[in-house]
Formats: sequence, structure tokens, C-alpha cells
Amino acid sequence: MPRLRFMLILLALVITLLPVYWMVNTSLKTQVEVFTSPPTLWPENPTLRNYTGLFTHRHLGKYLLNSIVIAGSAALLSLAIGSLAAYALARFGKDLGQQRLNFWVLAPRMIPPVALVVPLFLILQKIGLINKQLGLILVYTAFNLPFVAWMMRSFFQEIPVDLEEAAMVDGASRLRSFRDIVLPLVSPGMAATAIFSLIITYNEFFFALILTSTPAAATLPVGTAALIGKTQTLYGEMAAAGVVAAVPLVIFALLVQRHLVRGLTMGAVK
Amino acid sequence: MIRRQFLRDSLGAATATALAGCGNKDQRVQLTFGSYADPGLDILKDEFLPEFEKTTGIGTEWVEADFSGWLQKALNDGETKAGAFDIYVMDDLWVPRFAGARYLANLDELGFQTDEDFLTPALDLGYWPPKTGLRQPGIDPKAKPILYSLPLVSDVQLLFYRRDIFGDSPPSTWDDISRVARQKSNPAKRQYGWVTRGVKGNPIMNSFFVLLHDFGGTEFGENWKVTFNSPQAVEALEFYLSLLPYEPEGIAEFDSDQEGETLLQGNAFAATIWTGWCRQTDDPIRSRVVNKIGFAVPPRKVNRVAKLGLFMAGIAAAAPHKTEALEFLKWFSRSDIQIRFARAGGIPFKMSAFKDQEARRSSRWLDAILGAMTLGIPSPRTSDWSKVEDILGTELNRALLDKGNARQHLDAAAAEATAFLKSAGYHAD
Amino acid sequence: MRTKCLAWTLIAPTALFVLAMTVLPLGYSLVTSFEEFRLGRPPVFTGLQNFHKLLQDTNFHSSLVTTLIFSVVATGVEFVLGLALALLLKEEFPFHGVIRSSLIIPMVIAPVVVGIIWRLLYNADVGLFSFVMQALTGESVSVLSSTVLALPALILVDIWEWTPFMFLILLAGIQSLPQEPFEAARVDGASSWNVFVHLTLPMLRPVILVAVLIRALDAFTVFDQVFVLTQGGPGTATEVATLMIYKTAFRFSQFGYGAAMAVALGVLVACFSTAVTRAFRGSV
Repeated sequence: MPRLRFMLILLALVITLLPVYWMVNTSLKTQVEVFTSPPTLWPENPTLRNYTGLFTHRHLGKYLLNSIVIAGSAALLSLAIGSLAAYALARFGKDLGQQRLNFWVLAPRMIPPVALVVPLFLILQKIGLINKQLGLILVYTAFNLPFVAWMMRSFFQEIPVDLEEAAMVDGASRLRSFRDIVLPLVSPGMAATAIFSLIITYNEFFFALILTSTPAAATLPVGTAALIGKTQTLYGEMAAAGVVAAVPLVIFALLVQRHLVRGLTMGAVK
Repeated sequence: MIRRQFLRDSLGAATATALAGCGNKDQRVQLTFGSYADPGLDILKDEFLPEFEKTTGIGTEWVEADFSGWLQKALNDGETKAGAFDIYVMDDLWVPRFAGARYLANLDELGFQTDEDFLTPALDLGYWPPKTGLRQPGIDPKAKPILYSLPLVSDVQLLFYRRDIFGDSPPSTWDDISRVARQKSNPAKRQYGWVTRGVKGNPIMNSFFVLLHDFGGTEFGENWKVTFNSPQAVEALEFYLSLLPYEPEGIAEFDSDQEGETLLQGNAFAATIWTGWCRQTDDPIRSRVVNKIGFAVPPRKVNRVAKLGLFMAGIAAAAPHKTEALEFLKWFSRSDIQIRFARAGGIPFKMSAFKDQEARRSSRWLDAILGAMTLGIPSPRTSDWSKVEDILGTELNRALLDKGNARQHLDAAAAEATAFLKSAGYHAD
Repeated sequence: MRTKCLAWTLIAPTALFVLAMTVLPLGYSLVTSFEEFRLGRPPVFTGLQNFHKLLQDTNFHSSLVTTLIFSVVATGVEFVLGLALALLLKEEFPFHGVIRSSLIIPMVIAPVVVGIIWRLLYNADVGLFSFVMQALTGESVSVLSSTVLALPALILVDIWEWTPFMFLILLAGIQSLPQEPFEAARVDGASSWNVFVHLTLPMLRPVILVAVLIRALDAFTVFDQVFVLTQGGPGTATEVATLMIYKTAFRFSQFGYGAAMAVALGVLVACFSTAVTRAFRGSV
């Protein structure tokens, strides 16, 4: 590999990972050391108290479980529902132009969450889903759906219609041909879409804050932010919470990053 | 395939969680407290709630969110009458809004009895309309004040000073602070004579508040006329700015956490800080100045005041367990419990607890806090104060960045605030 | 006819969800923006009064400008850096999987934690960033308390956090380009630069549009980092629109006025994205 390329990649890695290192570094420090100047690159008295405190005092285990369940379910649900719509749009949607669809994909992102949170609260309150995992799952699904539908539509469009028609001529129903022929071909694309949805939903804060009230359904971002107190912020614990929250996603990304790029490569973004 | 595995795992986890939630319906009542995080609440949370549970058999769940997040949630809960919380832990600044909008239950009606042992400045904060001072437009000036909330933990701005620098007797005037800062500061070596808050809005306003009143100024005059650009106010701001050379460089971005940390790192000689920090000064994992910090009432100029910032507790209007919530408030307000709270290191709100000998021995800041509470004044009691504070706080921050121009900035703030108040129905002149 | 029925059945659940959770609440917000809220009293219908106030609210206008600057600069730099990274990493090399995964870590960390860590890094006394800057320039720098440097500092945080997002999408786009035009160009002896400008970039246009739009829109609604790092200060240097909306609605309890601000912001953002899409017209 050419020298320059190597140096540039190394530079990118250093810049990317330095703050991450700082987060890990801070998570192992006592509060008094966090504010030492000059800053120490490695804690003088490393401690795991920040991590243990999170799980014994701050319900982080509950928040972690909620986050994984809610984000995972929302990603899957939006994938399932959105793919159906995407298939319909790909196969039958000559009339619904790309422009229109683009607009509806982007529309939820144009509105600051602050404008939607109170009405959403009222809606969920009516159906008794405040402070329940299912409530948040439904809201996040709704927000992911346009994105999912739009991404999956391009994937479906990549599959030639002839393949399905050939199968149907051979006697298979549309459903059979969908399941046996189309689905396997778009699975990398589905993986990519699921991953993006997952990451976005996992770190969402605003709706999780208002639509849940206790650790029964609240998620990691809410639990982590709670460490910002009225007159003090517990930096060590916050850093530890950040590490704990990021670990599942990083592991997940490591496992599926091959699928991620391959999936996107399948023409999603054309 | 990965996707199927993931699907299976998620479904499994979801089912397990759902099932876990279904079983074991606890028969006893569970009180839900909503709050923000603060070291001042730790002892209540960790020691006294479990004791309450044991004594009365009423369960407690303490839910925390970040400070602004909790305000949002509480407002939302109150407005929509969702009833997710039984007790709101509030900043005393919120009481006008919560009480005025009827998000809180009427404690008089529920049968709460106050007694003489309550610290008057603390108890008065819980009444709406306010017992003393101006009433905002829309409130009947003759309406009888009703008790809507009780003090939970006393919090007031106290002077924290380095005993090894000031000697054993605390600085008693602002000129003392100024003089010692001038003589002994060494900013190059990170030895700052004073540290304060500079972030615009509420933080800088809290720091400026004491100076404003000490120099003889006020926020409002008769009929809500804006008076924070009076000559006394300008003098106060000029004094605030005069300490800048002895303060850390980035003071404009300092909030209470950095202010406190600078003191605890041993880099500042003195500061006016909230009482939640008291216990931490002697904790080695938090502080480098163990046993070096003294506590006193904030210094004087013409007047001597301290800023009140109590944690208040109110019962939500839509609380599912009002009777049990009242039980808690009655229990925690008992003088004997308050004495034990003070002995455990908490900050009480009853006189007998402040005077208890054992408590005074183990918490060496208690006397100073009592003194400060007695001289304490709160922010103006109106639900529109947040907006005025934001306006004034932004101009104060600008003056800080300018390192001067006190009069211009205060005039600008006064003009904008007057315009806002007029549009909100105040006479303001 | 049968297929049309099937099509609508498949689309219906999605449409219902979006309607219930996005359009309906938006309608509610719109209604709220026509009302005024005073303490302890039910909301009063005031028609277009809130919007009239908005037109004269210079504080809000400048917050819109700040937001626009933030979004455009951040997205622009993220695009350039993301593209550079994608070009650097488009071929396989040892450990490229691990390296790629490491590069996307910033975007999987919770935004509020990103804010807190960078707050620590920027701290004038104890921050690593300030320390390094002081070593490099010899002057002590207090980035977050400087009216000039605060917004760039925030933009830097955003760049750090979201360049990976651009990088991923652009990488996928580059890897999905057909090989023949590039081979033909190589046969013709075209220079790398020419290939890049006249072949790669134009073919990537749809991808670029998508990436840029999504990122720009998210940048318009940035909130967590600004709130944690500067609260809109110093002065009003980093007062972005979402911060103003939040303060107005929740701190000052002016729900109606806050809703009007949110509607105004939404409309402006919609116009912006339509304008950008039109500028790219012909390649979508």
C-alpha cells in the first residue's frame, strides 16, 4: 500500500479514536482525577467504581435491556412492514414518483422532535402505552418506516421481474416466489437497512425521555443523561455509561459490517 | 443467517421481558418519586427512603432524569394529568409554575399541618400565591396563600473559602474577597482568587443575584418595574467584572459543576456554591482540599443576603396515591426524623435539626447554612421569571465577554425585559 | 385490479403508521401554534398572532441563521471528508474490516455522551484539546467561551460524530459503480483527476444527494450536543433554532409560540431540501 495512503488512514484512525480513548480513560477515573490539570492520559488510580455504580445504583442493566429490546424490535418491525410497502412500490408503484417518495422519506426528519412529543404523548396515553416498551417500539417503527420503505424499494427494483414471473409460470404463488426467490436476494439489503434503523433508534433521546417515566421502559440515552445533575455532572459515570451503551453496537457493527456495505452496494442508494 | 439469528434473539428477549413484567404483582402501594440527580438528595435516597419503606410498608421508587429533562417530564405529566408520578421533586423556581397551573395537590386541603419548627424562609417557598412580595398579573392580590409544596432538602448558596488562605475567620465583606484575590492570586499557576458561573441565563444570574442585592439593588420595584439597571445594579455588575482577572480563563463557559470542581481541585480561594457540595469537600475521591474548606454566610456589602435554591416536594394533582404521598411528607417533616437526617449529613429544614449538637459536630457546615437560610431570599415569585432571567442572563454573559460595558448591557436587558413583561400583561413601569 | 388491491394492502400498514405518528401529531402542533397559553388558564385561540410575532423576533431570525450556517458547513465538510475516506478505503487491504468498524464508532456513541466527552476535551483548564492547542500555539485557548470559536467548535464535534455516516454511504455508492466506464477511461489514458471529476462524481450524484440531504436535515434539528456543550452561549453564538424552541416551549411555558417556531422551522427546512433536490435535478 502506498505510503501516503497509509499515513492518511492512520491519521483518520487517530482523530476518530482519540476522543473514544478519552471516554474510556475518563470512565476509569475518580471524579477528582477527571478535573486534574494537566490532563492525565491514563488514570493514576484506576477504578471500576463508575461501572459498578451504574449497575447497582442507576439501573443501567434495565436501561440496557430496554434499549436492546426496543431498538431491536422497532428495527425488525419497521423492516417487516416497510418491506411490504417497498415491494408494492417497486412492483406496482409506477404512479408514485421518486420525488414524492423522497419527500415522505425525509418529512419526519424535518420536524424538530420537540413539536411532536406532546401530541404523541397524548395519543399513547389514550391507548395506555405510556411507559411501556411497546409504546416506544410503535413510535420508533413509525419513524423508521419511510426510510426503510425507500431503501428497500431500490433493492426490490434491482431484482428483475422476470425471475418472479418465471417462478409463477412454473406454478408457484406470488407469495411463494416472494419468499423463495426475492427475499434471499435482498437479504443483504435488509441487513443494511436494519442496521441503520437500529443505530438511529438505539440512540434516540427525546421521545424516550417523554414517552417513558421509569426504568420499566426507559432507554440508555435517558438513563445516561440523568447523570447530568442540577449542580454537578458525574463525568466518570457518564463516560462509563457511554462505553457500556456503545459496546453492543460496536460488536454488532463488527459482526455485520461486511453485510452492511455489501447490502448498500446492491444499489440501494441508486 | 444473521438476520434470522437476530430475529430469534430479539423475539426471545422481548418475550422474556414481557413475561418477567407480568408476574409478581406487588400488593403494597408503590410511591413514585420523580426527580433530577443531585448529591444533596443522596442521603434521602439511599438511607431514608428505605427506612420509610420499612416503617410504613409503603414502597418507594425514585426515578431520575437530567435536570431539564425532568422539568419537561414533570410539566408534561402535570399538563396531561398522566399521573405517572406521585411526588415531584422540584427546584423552588418551579413552584410558581406548577402551583399556578394546578399541577400540585392542595396540601392544606389534604390536611397537612405545619408547625413552628419549620424554617420560615424554607416553608414560605411552598405557598402560592406567595406570602410576601409582588404577585404576578392574573393572580388575585387578596387571595390567601395555599400550601402546595414542602421543602425537601435545604439548599442555599454558601461561601466556601480556603481556611489556609483566609485564615480561620471567613472573609466577611466583598472587599475582603477582592483584596485577598488581588494580593494572592496567581492565574498563571492556576491559583484563582475567585471562581463563579458565567454561562448565560440561569447560571450567571444565580451568581450575580447575591451581588445585586448586596449592593442594594433589586430585580423589580413597585408594580414589577424593572430595576436591574439601577446605579446599584451597575455597581454590582462592575464589581463582578472586577474579579475577572483573578478567575479562570474560560469563565464564560463555567456552570456550577466547573465552578465547584475548580474549588475542589484546590485552584480557587473562594466561591459561593450550593450546599450539595459541602460533604464532598472532605471526600478524597472528590476533593484535593480535604479539611481545608471553611463555610460561611456570603459576604456583605451594603446588605447581606444569600440565594435560596431549595429542593421542594409536591404531590402531583393526578397522583395515584395521594394519601401515601402525604404520609411520606408528614413522616419526613417530623422533627425527630429531620434531626436524624441532619446527623446523617443531610441538610434539614427544621430549626431543631439545625440546633442539634450531634449534627453540628458531624456536619461542620450546618451553622453556616442556618445563617445563610435566615438571610436567604428566593428568585422573584412569578412564572415568567424564567424568561426574564434568560434575557438578563444573556446580557450579563455578554458583559462578561466584553469584560466591561456594564451599564449598556444592563440597560439593554432592562429594555428587552420591560417589552416582554408588557406583552405578558405586567405594568412594568 | 387485483394487483392494485394487493398493492394498497401492502402499503396500508406503513401509511397508517406514518399517518398516526407523524401527520396527526404535526396537525396537533399546527393547531397549538395558533393558540396562546397563560398560567393556569386554558389555551386561547389567537389566529396568526404567534406567526406575526415570529416575523419580528430578531432573536429567532438569528437562531435560524446560526442553524443554517451550522448545517451547511458541517454537512459540507462531512461530505468532503467522507468522500476522501471512501476513496482511501474502497479497496481491500489487511484489517480493512476492523479499520472500517473502528471508523464508524463515533456515530454509535450516544449523542449526549459525545457532548459530555467533548465538553471535557474543550475545557480550558483540564481538556486535552485545550492542552494540545496550547502546546501548538503557545497561547491558552478557551474555545467554548469565545464568541468566534464556539460555533466552529460545535461544528467540529458534529463532523467528528457524523463523517462516518457519510463515509459509509459514499463507500457503498463508489463500490456499486459499474466498472466498464472506468476501464474504458483507463484505456483512453485519462488522468486520475479527470476520471474522478468527470466520471466518478457525476455517477455518484444520486448517492451524494441522499447522503447530503439526510445529514443536512439531521443537522438542522441538532440539539443534544449544543445543549450539553454551550447551552446556546457564549452570548447567542451557538443559539440554534431547536434550542430556542425548546426554551420557549418548556422553560418559558409558551407552548403556542414554541409550536409556531417549530412549524416555521419545519417549513423552512422543507423549502431548503426541495431547493437542494431541484439543484440536483435530472439525476434522481
